[in-house]
Amino acid sequence: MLQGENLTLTYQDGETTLDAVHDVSISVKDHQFIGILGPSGSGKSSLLYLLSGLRKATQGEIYLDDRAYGKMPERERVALRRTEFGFVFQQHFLINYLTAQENVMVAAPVQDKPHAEQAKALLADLGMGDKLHRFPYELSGGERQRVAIARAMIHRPRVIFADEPTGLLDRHTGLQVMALLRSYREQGSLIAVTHNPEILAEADLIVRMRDGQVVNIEDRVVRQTQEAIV
Amino acid sequence: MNPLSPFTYYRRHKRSALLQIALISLATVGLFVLVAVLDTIPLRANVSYLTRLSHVSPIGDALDPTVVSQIETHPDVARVIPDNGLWLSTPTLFGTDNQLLMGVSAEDAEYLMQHCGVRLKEGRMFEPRTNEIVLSEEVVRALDLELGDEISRAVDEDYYEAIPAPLALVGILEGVSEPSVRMGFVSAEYLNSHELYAPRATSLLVVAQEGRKAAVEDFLETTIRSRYTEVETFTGLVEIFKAVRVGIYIIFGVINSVVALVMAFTVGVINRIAMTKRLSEFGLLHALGRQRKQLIRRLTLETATVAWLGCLAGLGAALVIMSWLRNSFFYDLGVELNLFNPAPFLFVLPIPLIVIALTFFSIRRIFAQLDAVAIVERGELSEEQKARQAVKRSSAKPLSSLTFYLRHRRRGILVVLSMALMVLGITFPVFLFSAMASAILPSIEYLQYVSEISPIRSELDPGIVGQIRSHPAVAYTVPVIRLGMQMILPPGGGTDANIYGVSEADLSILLEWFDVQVQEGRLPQPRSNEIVLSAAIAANRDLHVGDVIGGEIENDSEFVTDNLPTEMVVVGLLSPDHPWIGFASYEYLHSHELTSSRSPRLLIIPREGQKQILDGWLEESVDSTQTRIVTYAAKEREHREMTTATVLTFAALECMIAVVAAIALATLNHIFFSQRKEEFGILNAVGRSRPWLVWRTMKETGSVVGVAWVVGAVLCGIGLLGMQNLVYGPRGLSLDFFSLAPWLLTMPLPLIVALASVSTIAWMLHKLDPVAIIERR
Repeated sequence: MLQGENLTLTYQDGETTLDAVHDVSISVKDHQFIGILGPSGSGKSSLLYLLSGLRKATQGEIYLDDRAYGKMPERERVALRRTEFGFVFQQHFLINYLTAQENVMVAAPVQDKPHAEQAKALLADLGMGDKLHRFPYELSGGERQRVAIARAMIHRPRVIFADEPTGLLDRHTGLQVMALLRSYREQGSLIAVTHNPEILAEADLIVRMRDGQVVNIEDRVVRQTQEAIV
Repeated sequence: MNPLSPFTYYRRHKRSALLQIALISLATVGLFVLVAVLDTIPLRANVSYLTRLSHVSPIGDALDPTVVSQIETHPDVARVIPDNGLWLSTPTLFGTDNQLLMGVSAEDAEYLMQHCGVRLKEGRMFEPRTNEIVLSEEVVRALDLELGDEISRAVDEDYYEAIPAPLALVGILEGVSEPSVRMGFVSAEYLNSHELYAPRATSLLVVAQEGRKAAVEDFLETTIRSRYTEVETFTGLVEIFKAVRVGIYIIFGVINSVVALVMAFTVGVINRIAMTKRLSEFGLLHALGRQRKQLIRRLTLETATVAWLGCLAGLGAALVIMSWLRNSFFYDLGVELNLFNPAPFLFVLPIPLIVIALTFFSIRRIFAQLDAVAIVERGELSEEQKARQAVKRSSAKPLSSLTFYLRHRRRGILVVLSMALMVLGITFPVFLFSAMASAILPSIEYLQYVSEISPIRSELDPGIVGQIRSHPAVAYTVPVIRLGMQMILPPGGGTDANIYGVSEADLSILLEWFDVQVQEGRLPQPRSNEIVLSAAIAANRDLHVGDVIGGEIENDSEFVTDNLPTEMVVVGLLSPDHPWIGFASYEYLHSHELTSSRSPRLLIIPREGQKQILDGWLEESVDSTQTRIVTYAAKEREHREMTTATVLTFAALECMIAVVAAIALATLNHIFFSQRKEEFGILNAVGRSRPWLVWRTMKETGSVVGVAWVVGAVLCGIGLLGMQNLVYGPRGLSLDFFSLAPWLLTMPLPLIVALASVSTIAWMLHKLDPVAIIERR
């Protein structure tokens, strides 16, 4: 479904160039949970930005089904983010003058009453039914991240990109948030970037990165199947 | 170095400081130039000779010999020079002004030049008994003349109406003293001997003994001024200056307050935003033992520094602009512009003061709830801050402008208020002027019924009168003697209303033709000093049946001068209000010594439906160097041109202020955008395109500017309604609320503001990088 081929992302810093991602290929299937693991500066977030169309690859190409990002004008890439992808970031990035429900509505395809009801239901499913009309500054860190997750899910995207979604949360809340994200696998794929392997316990595929390059790909489904056969 | 001095913060935050300085200086420049330019309106440089001498002229045919002898023998009078000169007009900022071309002997001209500090700059002096003239260089420049040029009514009727036969420019004068005096001379002998100029009434130019000018002016004003003698003195001129200036200052006082308030709001918002960023600094300083008062004083001093720097920078820039205007635009107009006129300085002074005052009160209010622990722990001013807004329901359209402004009421109110104030402050004078201009239209309305023909000199040519009477489009001709009354036009002006002396038989014809009846009282008796007036004129001048006007009876307003040499008794009022007109007895005026010399004119009544044909024929065939035709089309055109010129000047000034406002509000938007950068970044990240974000901003700006425009326009309407009911209505005047021009003039402000805001945001969005925001770069 989502295919990245020989991806390179180069940053120019004065006269020196830096490859944030170097010659990385990756394939994401429907309903797959992929974890990208690596220390700070390993290029995992940059890879996520490339796959989600937030950054354009310096070299290589990304395909969503048969559509190549490289040939798309910015307008189309933005539209792709709106219809096909959802985002959860390390910081919640909620709009501070909008309520929880309204923040979820921001990513809805249309802003109308049915979608408002949908946002309400989604927040209720995430355990936020009693805090629909609270502003972000009236919510705890975990609650804010739940609102961000609901915002990422409201338009039923095919892929949710999560960049260090538990980075600012305590362990317990972090695991809760990951459980919520994992639950989305029934509807679409999930790509989570983290430096914490614990939250990728249930990932189908773990891509380990260092210095912008993939150092190891662990296909857990294959391994589990092999283990089962053994 | 004191790290907490008022300079340190802005030295380390140059952009913020420069922004505030730029805003304040822009406002200062705009207002200074506006006031300085408009302050030249009452600056009648054309009568600057009154600073050195006085002018005494007859109201009737000639000056009373006793009066002449009284002046000549007065001990403070050094010399009395007879003058039989004429007037020419020169262009000014609004319309034209009259310049006296003194008709004197060559010897007297030399004396007057020496006395007034004027010398020949170019060419030569006029020869006696020739059509040669000399003029001051400012007048020559204003009229775009060169040595050898001839001027006459045929060359330009607007400027040389009183010059039937050509006069040739042979010399250019220059002033050598301060203030420079404008003069113009023509040979008195020539004027007295030329058939188109003679006979001429002789006036007197009165020169006072050294240091006795005030005493002479006092003598002329108190002893000589009478119903038969007109006196022009510098003291009288200053009184008129004062009155006109008061009107101008009232209008610009309003604009001044608006600009100052808007600037104060803007700088206040910038300060507030800066303060939010500096909360931890204040919390820390408070925790370390700094008193609230000390913090308030420090912040106020910081603002004061910036405000005064901005004001000084603005003054510097304004002086540069004014100096350029003086050497270009005003130089061409021949207007001497005083760069150090104190009025504009006084008008810009409130800007920094209001900015500082508003900042001080705002800071004091904010710091009333200062809680060091809350700031240090949570970055909030106090515990109370947490319990701010709460909503009961979420909106189904969270990204709509309404939701945004409902959640940012203060900001919305601030922008709406600023814009509305600007719309009100800037366009209200235009509304008022335009409405005033329309209000004086009834003064020429009578020309829709009749045309008027008058001799330029002496009597109407009987041949021309015969031609007119026999024209097929003419139904009737009415010989009249014209008097004049002025309607008071608040806040400081007057406009003509025509009073005609007509015979009893003609009066009934005219009343029927004008479709007016006696509403109160009766018509004037033949050969009596009785007068009947339109109800509107009576209401305007607070006159009632039985009141006496004219002659030596004092006017009720200093802004109007009636042309009623004899006392007249109001015996009747006419309705309806329009046209503004009045009638007296022809026989009385014809026989009275003060009005008998007035040449009769003709009011020409056309046959039904023939008015246009008649006017066309009159303008084409009868209008000449000896006969003046007054038609509605010509008067209406004149009125329209004057209104258009004034409205255009206002429009230019308004655009200047609109640009200042746009920059101020665009700056605010820039700041607001910086605050909302994260919001725009995240919206872009989740799939909202840049064009959509720009469109959303446009809607937000558009809605708030639209609301502000409506509020401003409604306030203008209320203001006009108030003026109509309280000021104009009781004066018998009707303001025109539906004139399109002022409404169109309200447009540049919101449009420029919206455009500036949207372009700022579009430019910033162009550089928006969502990843940088997500990564907190």
